[in-house]
Amino acid sequence: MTPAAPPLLSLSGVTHRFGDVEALADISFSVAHGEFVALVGPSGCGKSTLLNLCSGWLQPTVGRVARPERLRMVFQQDGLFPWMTVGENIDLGLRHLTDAAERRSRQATLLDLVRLGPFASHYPHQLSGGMRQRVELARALGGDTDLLLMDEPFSSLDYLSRLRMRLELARLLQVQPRTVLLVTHDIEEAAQLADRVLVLSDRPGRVRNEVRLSAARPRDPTQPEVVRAVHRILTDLGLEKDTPALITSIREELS
Amino acid sequence: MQAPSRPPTAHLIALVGPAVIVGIWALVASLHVFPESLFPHPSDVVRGLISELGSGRLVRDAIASLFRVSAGFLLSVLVGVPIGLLVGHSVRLREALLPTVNFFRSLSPLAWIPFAILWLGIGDPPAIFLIFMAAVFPIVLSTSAAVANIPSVYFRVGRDLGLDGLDLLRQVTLPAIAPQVITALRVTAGLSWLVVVAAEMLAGTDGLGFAVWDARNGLRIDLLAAAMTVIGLIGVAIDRLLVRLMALPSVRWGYDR
Repeated sequence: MTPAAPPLLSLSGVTHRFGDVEALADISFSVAHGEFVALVGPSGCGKSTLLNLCSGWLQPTVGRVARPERLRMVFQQDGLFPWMTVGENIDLGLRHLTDAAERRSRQATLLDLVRLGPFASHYPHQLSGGMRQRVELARALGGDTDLLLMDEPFSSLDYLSRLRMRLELARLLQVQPRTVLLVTHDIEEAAQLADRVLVLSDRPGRVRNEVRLSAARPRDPTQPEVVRAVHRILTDLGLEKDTPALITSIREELS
Repeated sequence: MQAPSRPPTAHLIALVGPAVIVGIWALVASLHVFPESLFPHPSDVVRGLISELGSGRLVRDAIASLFRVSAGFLLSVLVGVPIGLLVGHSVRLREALLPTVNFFRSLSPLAWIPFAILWLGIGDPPAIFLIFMAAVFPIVLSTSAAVANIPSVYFRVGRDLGLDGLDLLRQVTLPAIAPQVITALRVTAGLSWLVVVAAEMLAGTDGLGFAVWDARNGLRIDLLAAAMTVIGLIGVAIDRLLVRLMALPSVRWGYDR
């Protein structure tokens, strides 16, 4: 990432109000090409609003959002069309391909990528939550877009499925690199996946702090850098005392 | 996730109800509880049914009624679904039109019979008009409600995927409302079948409703009961036909929750 390369997505001085309620106040950040940025914050801090501003679904009251023309969004749940099979849903993500044969082979590749080849003709309601999220990822990755916006994509899954989906996402991004902005309330998820975690404050949401991680993905949730980042974020959110005790004890154990 | 297949004999259980009713009916008729001129014996009705079917009259009446219902119902769908789509997409239009739609929906279509005859005479036109008045308002109402309730996430995904205009309608809006619209069609088709009988009784010279009226005027209570039996059976058949739509794989999701 050379400083000369313009960011793929950037927000400058963005404030958003719903009537009298100020949801977000003076938010500025940018996401560079190929970067994985996570946004965490207490519930009601305007995380989803921020993502909707990034996607262009909402226009900011004040400030400017520069975004690429096309992007794909991955939703919390049920973003798949229930009236289409898994294969048809993924195929819809490949609409930009005009060549039918190429489209078919891309569809097969994507299905294999998320290991759902045998489920092409199943309907979403016949799959588990984790499988549905994998289809969503496959559909989003099918686009000719670089930027993926994810709105708490794994929050409706149970804990173990969530852990699995994090690894799955890290793996998919190795095969199909994308720039990702992930909104989540799951701090561990943010620390395990992101290059940079932006911590938002209570409403009106502001960027309170930024935590950078450099360990290569896939990461383990118990890896020291991840644990340190979780501690840092929890402290920023006022949920943990800023005591080095935990870190010291980990260091001692590791040495 | 599929209904377990039932043994073929399982359908026979549905015949228990009719068997019991016909049994009690035959018993009451044989005991002459009521005068024979007011209460036909089932065997007379079966004989009447066979002779009317043999002469072809009942078949012609059934075809006449089915034609009117098909025409009126199809017209209601062609007019009602597009209006429902428009109204469902716009809060303004809903606020402006739904009270009126509700007024007409609450107005018994039978109240239109005098006007139907005054304006359209007798025969097919008044019957089709009455069926239309009975079916179109519920269709508008359910279609618009279904559209208004489509989760916005589907439109957002559609936009992300570059769907707009007719593509959006075909790939998102219509399939999203299909389960609810099919339910509404089932209800309104039943309603249409009720209305056609009444319409033909007063504004017809043929059709099953007219057969009922004609049998009553000729004091042929055996034919009266025979016509009623046919009306009921065809009504059930229409419903069975529309229920099949609910088994389409692309609408199953709407009923499985």
